[in-house]
Amino acid sequence: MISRKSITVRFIATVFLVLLIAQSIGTIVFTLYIRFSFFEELNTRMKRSAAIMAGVSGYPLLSFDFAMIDTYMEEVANDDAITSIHIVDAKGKVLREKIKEADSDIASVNPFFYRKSLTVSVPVNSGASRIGDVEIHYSARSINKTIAQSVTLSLLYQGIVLVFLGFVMAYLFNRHVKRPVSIINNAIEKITTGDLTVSVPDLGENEIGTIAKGVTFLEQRLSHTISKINETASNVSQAIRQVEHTYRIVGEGITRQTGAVKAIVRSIGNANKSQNDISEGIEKLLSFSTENVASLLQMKATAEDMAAQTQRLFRATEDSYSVVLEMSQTSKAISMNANQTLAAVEDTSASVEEVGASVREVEEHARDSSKIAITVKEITSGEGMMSVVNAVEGMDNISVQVKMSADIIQRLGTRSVDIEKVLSVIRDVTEQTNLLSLNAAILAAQAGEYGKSFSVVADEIRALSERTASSTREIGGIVKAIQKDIKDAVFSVDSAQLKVDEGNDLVVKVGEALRQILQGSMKSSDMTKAIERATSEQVLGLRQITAAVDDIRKVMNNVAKSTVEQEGALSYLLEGVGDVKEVAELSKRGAGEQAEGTRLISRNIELANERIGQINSSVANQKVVNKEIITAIEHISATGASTVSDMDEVNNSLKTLFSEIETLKQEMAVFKIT
Amino acid sequence: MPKFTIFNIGDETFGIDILRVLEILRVPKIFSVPGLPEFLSGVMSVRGAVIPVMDLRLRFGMMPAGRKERIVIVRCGAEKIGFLVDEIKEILLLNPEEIKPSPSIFRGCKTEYLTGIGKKGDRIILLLNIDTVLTSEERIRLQESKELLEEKGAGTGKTAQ
Repeated sequence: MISRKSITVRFIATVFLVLLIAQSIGTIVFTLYIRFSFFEELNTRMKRSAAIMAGVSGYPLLSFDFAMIDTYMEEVANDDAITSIHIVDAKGKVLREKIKEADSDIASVNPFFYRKSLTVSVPVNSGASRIGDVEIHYSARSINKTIAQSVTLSLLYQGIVLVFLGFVMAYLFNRHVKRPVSIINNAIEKITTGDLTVSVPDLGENEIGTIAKGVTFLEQRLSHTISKINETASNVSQAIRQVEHTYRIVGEGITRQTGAVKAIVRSIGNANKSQNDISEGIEKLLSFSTENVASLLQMKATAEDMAAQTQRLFRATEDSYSVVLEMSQTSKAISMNANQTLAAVEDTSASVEEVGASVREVEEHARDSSKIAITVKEITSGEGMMSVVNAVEGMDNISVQVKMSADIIQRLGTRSVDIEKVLSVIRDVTEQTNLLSLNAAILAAQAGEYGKSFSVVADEIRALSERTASSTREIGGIVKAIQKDIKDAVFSVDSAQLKVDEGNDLVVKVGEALRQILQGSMKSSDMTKAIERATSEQVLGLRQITAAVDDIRKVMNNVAKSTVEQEGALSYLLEGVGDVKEVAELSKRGAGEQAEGTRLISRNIELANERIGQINSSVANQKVVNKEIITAIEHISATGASTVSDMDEVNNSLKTLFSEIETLKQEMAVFKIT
Repeated sequence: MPKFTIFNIGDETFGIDILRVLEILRVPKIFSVPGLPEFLSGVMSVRGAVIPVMDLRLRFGMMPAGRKERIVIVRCGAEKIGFLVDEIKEILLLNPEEIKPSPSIFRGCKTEYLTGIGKKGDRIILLLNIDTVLTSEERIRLQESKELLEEKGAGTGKTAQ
């Protein structure tokens, strides 16, 4: 309960220390004062004793009655403080002395207080002459003892009082200060751990009570603030969740878009691969044709050899034969090469067709996209705009109709005024008729019997005029009602006009929105058109390639045919190799034919080479176009990806924010709020 | 069986013996002529004849209702006088048993101007005595003013010619 840091212990210890110091100083001052007063008293007593001694010893000294002196000395020496008494004559010779203690024996006296031994000397006179001295030696031991006793007692008493006082103070302090402070302390500790439900009791109108009220006030404010923060945090987290949801939707859309773009890229990659196949095929073709040319050159050289050998036919028939055989083999090799070339061309053709299919797919996609854009455009520009125009026209019509209605109603108003005018005329006439009838009745009455029949007529006229008057009144009422209705109608028409104006504004706004949509769809349509254009260029290039490949095929067929012809020529040559003359002629003719064939093949191969070069360049062009498309699509893809990454970033930020809010909520959850 | 011309002044219904009534008119322009006695409102011209006009409403101390105004021209001795009244209602036939003698005071009005009170169904008609509407002094003054007016009328006639 009482810890080392307790305010009670520290306060009481301090009070004790202060009291102790005060007590010590008091004790020292008290001791000094007592010592001084005791010492004075002792000195006075000794002087008096010495004076008495000197007084009584004058006569005995003269009469040398030492026994008397001794008696006196014994009497005086009863004083505890006196250690020895000496009576000396004028010359300093000791006449009588009484020693209770030697000066040298008084060693145990506390030197703090006084000297070991003190001396008082009084002269002994007889008449006017001095006959000796009385010397009394004494010690302050008794004073020391007394002081020690009184100080010890007072210290003991004060100590007891101090301890008692300490307990009383501790009790009072605990009761008035420590208990309320510990209550507040406990409350504050609970608040510190986050429990805001604790309540501090009313501790009265003193300083501690004020502190308690302050703590309560702070607690209430804190709980209010925390509940506010909680509310805000939950609001923010809800908002973040919504934003996150929205972002997720947008992200899904973008991911789908990215997938579509990837599909297009894949298609174009396929196309590229096929084009690479074409390139490879063409390279193969080129190498084959180079081999062909080499073989042809060889053949040519051999033919030349043959021409030379023909001159020496007889001598070199066998050589010729072997040469012809060689030629035949070479020819076969050419034939084989040509066949292989054909196969390569077929491969190339197939690849080109694949590319064509890929490109067509791309074109189809582009066309679909374009169609969609056009549909949107048509809808917005055609039906949408038409609707808006119709709406505007309709609103205008309504406005015109409303204005017409207003005019008609105004005219009705003026008509009713006209009716009123007519009515007033009728009223006038009716009154006049009434008067006439009255006067007629008067006249008839005054005429007496003669006027009776006339009075009937007058009554009839009067009744008629009264009926007319009542009808006129009714009509007047009706006209008034009509006028009021007209006023209402005018008011309604005015408000209708206002509504129509508002409707007009709305329609114009809708038109504006539609125009913006139209602009957007036009932009997208332009983009699709660009893609379509690029694709159709590609298709054109592919068509050229296909045509070129067909040409190559034709050329290669020619080569194969020529090679077969050559083979025929060679076998013919072989047949006639036995007959030397015929052989010589035949050899000549064969060599000529062979030269012709070789030239033909050579030209065809050159043509093929040219075609292949064209294909190569077409393929290269197409590659460039493909690369452009890929770059464009990659650009789109990159834009999508960057959007995704931006959204991811935003999403991450939101998540961080959300987690921060969650953390805040958790921290807030520590606080218990009432 | 006497007939009466019935008219309203304020909320009250009055009747005048039809034989004394000469004509009923709409209110024409009424001229105020200097020198006329104070009980006359002015004079009016009816087909060339100048006839003094007396407001019966003022005479009976009633406020004019102001809805309609009519002039009843009556014979008063040798003179004609126009009474300004509110609406003329009708010509009514009263049987002799429907005519009661008037009490001395009826509804706060002095009955010295009345010949009697007519009762027809719920309606009560105060029957006016024209001869007592004007005091004898007033009658003389009316005569005098008539002469005055005739002089003036002759004067205006001369100036007109």
